[in-house]
Amino acid sequence: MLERHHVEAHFTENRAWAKLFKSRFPNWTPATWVEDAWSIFADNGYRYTFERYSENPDSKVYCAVKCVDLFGPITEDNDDGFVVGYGDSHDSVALQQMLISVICNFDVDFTKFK
Amino acid sequence: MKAFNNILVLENDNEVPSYISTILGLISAPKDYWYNFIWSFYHNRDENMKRLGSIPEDTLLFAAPSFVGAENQFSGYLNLFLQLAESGKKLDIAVVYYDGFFMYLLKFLYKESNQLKNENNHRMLKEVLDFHNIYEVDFHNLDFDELEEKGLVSQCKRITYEALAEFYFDAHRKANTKIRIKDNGKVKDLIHVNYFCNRPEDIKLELGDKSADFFTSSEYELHEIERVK
Repeated sequence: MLERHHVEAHFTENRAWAKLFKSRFPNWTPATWVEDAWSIFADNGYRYTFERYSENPDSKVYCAVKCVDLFGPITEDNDDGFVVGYGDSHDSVALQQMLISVICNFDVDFTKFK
Repeated sequence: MKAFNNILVLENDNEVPSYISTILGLISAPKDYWYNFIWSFYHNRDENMKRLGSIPEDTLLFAAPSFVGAENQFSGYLNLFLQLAESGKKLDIAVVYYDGFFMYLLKFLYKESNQLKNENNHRMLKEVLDFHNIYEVDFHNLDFDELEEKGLVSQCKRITYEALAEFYFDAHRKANTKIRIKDNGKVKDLIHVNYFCNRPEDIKLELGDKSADFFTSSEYELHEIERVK
């Protein structure tokens, strides 16, 4: 479960993210962090796709996410907008883990986010 | 030099390696041991952050860390000590690292090719080194006979970001770092840096030569070159 000190560690790791997130959500809580963080990405033209190992809800591996791919605005250098993909997570935390990885690995430049 | 009246040994395992015991056995200052150090933050972070925050100023932290495994990464320690710096808690830490901690830090700074993350690694490490006092214990050249009289830190070198910067070369952004070879004055692009050595003096650079219309490389040692500004 995401706790306050986890989120604060991301702030320590990525100051640009900290400034952006805190300006948008000064009274943030861990409980709503995932939807709050994703809303910033969505407002900046980002989307994600989700690929499961099996689309059959009765499958034992239905909850296993093969990869979560992040796409950003299409540019001259990037005609499909693909930014990065992260694999092998449980669907309950796939978006959360992708967001944390993108933030801590500096996969996007938050100084360019509005 | 600051006097330390206590030593707190940080150890991730349940016992201290024998070479650490050897050093500690020659120092009469009272010693305390924090076993399962990094794991204690996973089980009870708040309590253990308070414990770190309440370490007396005359206590020297002493560690022989390893940075292997998913939960024992160097960046985790960097984040931890940066959070302490942000809270105003300054620590004195003596580090024993078999292949040389100074060289380890250079490799850490060099290996990241993502420019934003690379710059951030530099920022975080600089802030930690500027705020805390981090000393490298050169185990291979330690004068054990002098330990009791002069203490451990007197034989250690404080690691600074400025000292690391002297030996750091950025080869990730091709053609952005240029090197002049002293004996012939030729300027070449830096292609790759070989940090796999134990001493900064043994760092080697791989340089490109585009003048012949094909890529050639040769290795130069640091004393043979200088950066082109």
